[in-house]
Amino acid sequence: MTTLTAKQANKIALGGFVLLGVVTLVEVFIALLGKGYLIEGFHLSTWVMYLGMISLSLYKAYYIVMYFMHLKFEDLSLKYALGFPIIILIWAVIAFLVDGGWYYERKMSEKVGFEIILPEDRPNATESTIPLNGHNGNDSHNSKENAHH
Amino acid sequence: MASTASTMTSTIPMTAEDKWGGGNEPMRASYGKLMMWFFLLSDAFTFSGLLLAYGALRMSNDAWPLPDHVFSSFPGGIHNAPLIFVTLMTFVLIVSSVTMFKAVQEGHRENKNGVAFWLLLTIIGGLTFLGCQAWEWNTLINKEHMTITTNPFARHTENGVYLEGDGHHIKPGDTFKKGDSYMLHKHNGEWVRLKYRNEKGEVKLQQFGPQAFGQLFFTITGFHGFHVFSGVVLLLIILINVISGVYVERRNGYEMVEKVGLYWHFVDLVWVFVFLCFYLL
Repeated sequence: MTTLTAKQANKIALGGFVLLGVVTLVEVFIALLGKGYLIEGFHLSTWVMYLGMISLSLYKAYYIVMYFMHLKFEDLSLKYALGFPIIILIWAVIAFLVDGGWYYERKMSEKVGFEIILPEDRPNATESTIPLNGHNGNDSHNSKENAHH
Repeated sequence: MASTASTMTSTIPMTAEDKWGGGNEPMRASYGKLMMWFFLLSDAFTFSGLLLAYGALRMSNDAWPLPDHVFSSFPGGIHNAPLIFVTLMTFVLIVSSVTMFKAVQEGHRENKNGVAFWLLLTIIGGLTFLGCQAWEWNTLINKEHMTITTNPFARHTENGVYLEGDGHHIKPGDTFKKGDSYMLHKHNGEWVRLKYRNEKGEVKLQQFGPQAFGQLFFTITGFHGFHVFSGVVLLLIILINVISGVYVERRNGYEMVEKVGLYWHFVDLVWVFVFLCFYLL
């Protein structure tokens, strides 16, 4: 593990403060600009905002871990021991979000690219249109109709 | 000079057997430091789980309130400052991270008074952050009446026109579109939910916002706030140790300051992502 000289340390301290501060201000600027608070009626697309703010936050995280937490100057095996789980964590987060409907079943999007309509939400939905046992509602062996007798 | 270097020098070429065969520090970091890193890794997984639960729930609900609508107050009675207070909180933590880094550097130079000075500033930063978070919680709970079961912040899920006013900004006949934010108020201790008519002609009452918003907000900021609080407690203990001269004689010097520094930087790191997910996105 290498020890920093006083000059290097001050450069990281002051440089880090300025960098993190500026990046935070840029992130907040993107958020406020994109939601219409700075210029009346102006909107940035969700993708642009998300991409910008997430990558800026990842950069802040990179700087804090590498320089403030000193990981850049540590042994490579420690970097691997920590880096690899983080990479698969990012995979896990994305996988869980997609599985949880974050992309395909999202409702907050203003653009209607495609919509998933659940069977029970269809306009002419009645109980019999929900397949309970693999048969559809037009099946004459439907137990609800049989119960009529 | 007592240093944090490993017991084996790195100038002698080692075989893998030498390096990993025991009796030295293969990652050139002490046991305590390694364990702190691995604890932080596991904590990162915990917060990731919470934040992705937030992401999945938020995207599933049309009525989820917009953060810039919910978090727009500032101490001193200011109300139309979206995200400003929380940006201030981020700065407080960034500054406390820088002071923590300085404390660790002073520890490497074995400057006892320097370490104590910068540790004290870090503690003050941590307490300031906790005070800000407490103000935020108080505003939400006591002034805006948001709890883990009641959420007065929401967005409209259909277009419509208000049939009555609330005496604040809304007058009967005001129209709204799907996605417009609104906030329910309490008058004389009673919730005021306005009647409106949607495009199909149905007359409905304003709904409360999703409960999950309050639940997730208080859980995640509570978890993070608890980490900040325990960090402040740890920093206080280490500060007392530093002032008492406990680390002057130790073989690994001020390494304890470094370990607590890792924890404190992690707390800042988590805040970067909580800030991102809850307030910016």
